[in-house]
Amino acid sequence: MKANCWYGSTDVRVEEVADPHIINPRDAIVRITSSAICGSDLHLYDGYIPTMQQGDILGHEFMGEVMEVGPGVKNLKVGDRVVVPFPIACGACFFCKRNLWSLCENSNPNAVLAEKLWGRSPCGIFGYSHLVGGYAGGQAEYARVPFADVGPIKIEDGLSDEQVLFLSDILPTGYMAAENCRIQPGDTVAVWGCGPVGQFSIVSAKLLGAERVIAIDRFEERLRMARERAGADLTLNYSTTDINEVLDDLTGGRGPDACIDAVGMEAHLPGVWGLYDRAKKAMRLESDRGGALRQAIQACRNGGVVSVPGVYGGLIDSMPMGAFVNKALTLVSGQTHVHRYLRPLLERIQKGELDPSFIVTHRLALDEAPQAYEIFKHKQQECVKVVLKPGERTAGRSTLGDGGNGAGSARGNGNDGATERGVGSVGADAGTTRH
Amino acid sequence: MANTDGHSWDERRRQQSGERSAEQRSTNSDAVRLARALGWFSIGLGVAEIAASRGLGTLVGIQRPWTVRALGLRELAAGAAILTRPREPAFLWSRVAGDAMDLALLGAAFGARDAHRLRLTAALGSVGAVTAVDVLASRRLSAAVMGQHAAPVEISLSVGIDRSADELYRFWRDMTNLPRFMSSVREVRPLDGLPPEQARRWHWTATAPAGLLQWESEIIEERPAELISWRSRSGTPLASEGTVHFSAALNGAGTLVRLRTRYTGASGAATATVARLLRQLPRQQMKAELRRFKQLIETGEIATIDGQPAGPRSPMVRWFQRVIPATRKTPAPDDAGLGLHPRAGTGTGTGTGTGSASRWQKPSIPAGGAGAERSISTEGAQS
Repeated sequence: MKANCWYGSTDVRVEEVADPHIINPRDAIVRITSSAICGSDLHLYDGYIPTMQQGDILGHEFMGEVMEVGPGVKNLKVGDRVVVPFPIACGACFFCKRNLWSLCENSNPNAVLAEKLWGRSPCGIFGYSHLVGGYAGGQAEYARVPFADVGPIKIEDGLSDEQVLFLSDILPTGYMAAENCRIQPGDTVAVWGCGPVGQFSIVSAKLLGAERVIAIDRFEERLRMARERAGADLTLNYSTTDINEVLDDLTGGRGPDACIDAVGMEAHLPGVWGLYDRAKKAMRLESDRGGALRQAIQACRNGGVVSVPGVYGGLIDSMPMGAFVNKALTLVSGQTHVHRYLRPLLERIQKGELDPSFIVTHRLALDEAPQAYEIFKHKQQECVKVVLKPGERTAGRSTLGDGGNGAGSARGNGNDGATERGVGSVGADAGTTRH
Repeated sequence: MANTDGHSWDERRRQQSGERSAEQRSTNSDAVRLARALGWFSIGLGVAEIAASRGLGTLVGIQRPWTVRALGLRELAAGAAILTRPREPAFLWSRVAGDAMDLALLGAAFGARDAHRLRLTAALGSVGAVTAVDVLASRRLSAAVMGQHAAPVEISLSVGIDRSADELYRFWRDMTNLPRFMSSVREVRPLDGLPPEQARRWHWTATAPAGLLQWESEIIEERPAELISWRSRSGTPLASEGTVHFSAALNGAGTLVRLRTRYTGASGAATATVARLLRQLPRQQMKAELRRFKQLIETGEIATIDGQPAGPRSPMVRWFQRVIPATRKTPAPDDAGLGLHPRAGTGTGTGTGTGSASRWQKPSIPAGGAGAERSISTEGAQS
């Protein structure tokens, strides 16, 4: 089969590889019909996540058709259409039973490695480095799905791939980020980063009753999407606006009740802090650039919540611990417990309360994955989200921009802002086990 | 009956090694005393070489005071290192390296036009004698230290498993189950003709770096739903003892499983060296094994990526993968349903680059134009 493989920093290649097969009894093989590129894949693409090996198959947002099931999988049958959650969870361990699926104790075969770096290991994740298991990912024609009796959710009605694909990661991730904000009626929520996770955080914050959602980014097309499609009440372009001043003004000098960092480890900041982080990173004195997180902590109101769906892998420098302590903040993060949100969010999609497909700007064939990464990374053609279609033949030069963006022009060079999900976390999951 | 010839592990160790350890202690202190003496010798020589570089140079036939001073500095460094850490063989061996350097210098000086052959010869003789002493002392110290490091390795680790103590006890009591999660253990079979739940004596076969390792063990204590203790029988090359303990787990659910093992490697200098190098390995391995035990019990299978596809990897990466993770092992091919591993897809059989050679019917359009022959690799494909 064909698969998009990692070969180093900004080097991915579509290679011919062996087909996957059932290895464990609870495995299934899925023929992939849609597979998205996640903002967190850009961290791999930029070489920010250690323990990638040349030839590793990327991709953790995918769906498709069940081709084969192991003898331990009773709830799926060949031909079922499923969306696969990015965390691999056994459903039987301490954490799975407590609805904390991304902390599954039994799905990371390389837990020893993760323990070296983080003290403890999270679950296994598709296509996201050997720290989280080294599982072959879903930017391929087929994928082996472990614990297939627990993770994949069946899609039985006429919903399109793009309406349900993002249940695999970014929709629940945005939703969990908003849920972690413990939104009360009347709350103001500020969202840093208007990439796909930021967009879904905005949608979810509104769904969960936030009175005002303020979206922050520097790309006008993303801010426009946040206003027009996601429902943000207000958008701020940080390259032209003093964020703190405006946030103060909007909240009577108090600050937003909750701040969401949907940017993560490759934050881009103007001014001194931006230079500071670039220099530190260049000298290997920090592994992650924490600019957005620092801003969120600074801006948040006293006693507020800073929710971090953005990905951090290692260490950030100059964590404003003084602000955190003296303002009595709550910091909440975690890999998304996708399994927890699958059914409730699918129901919202079925009822028409939610249509996540609005973020898709690019649809490309699997063969075009290398170009797709470049387009996404540099936000060329106003790219927000790329969906790869492994079943389809190469469509020629990059294609199919839609979402009212027109052809757009190549913009920006920074690999900044608007990140999505993947590895790493700051702080602990507060165990908000609802649903 | 099993307990009649049994002593505690400690007792037996004392008995077996009683004489030798007395001898070892004296060797040890002798070796250290010699090391100290050589350390002081280094200091003395170093001071002389620096303070009287010209005179000493003339005496041995090397007319370069700065060279002699540099040698003096080296001697001082070596002496200081040895005196601060007299039990570290590496520092003593550094003297041997220094001797080799001196011999080479003196040898080279023979070629000089104004060489004092007689003085050089005398110097060569004395440095040679010192070298002999250094080599002897270094070897003795190394041997003594190795002996110490061959002392028993004791490991204690625990894991929480979401099952009753009784269930876990019964799984472990039938030791034929152990190879299902212990990656290096090939087979454990009962020796005394009893059914596995009652058998007390066991024959183990394990893979080791040097080939197959076999030993016998016996269960020396068992308390249902609480603990099982076993130890190797005398006469087996690997003296070991283990206890697995089951107790109420944290958070009020499941069982805390604690595994304690103690073992001494086989005797002999070579194995002692290996044991010293690999001192941390057993702990890592045991941790991985407990994790697999948990996975097997809680999920019915062991998480693995062994056999999954990957793009072509460089030979170095493949070597790395083979060497590093013991975690990569999929044990127990006889496990519930695990027999199904159809390695067919991974070997040379399928997909020699024709692109559409999948075992499943392809979707509407066959992957076009992928005809190019490319190598296909699979994670850890060994067979």
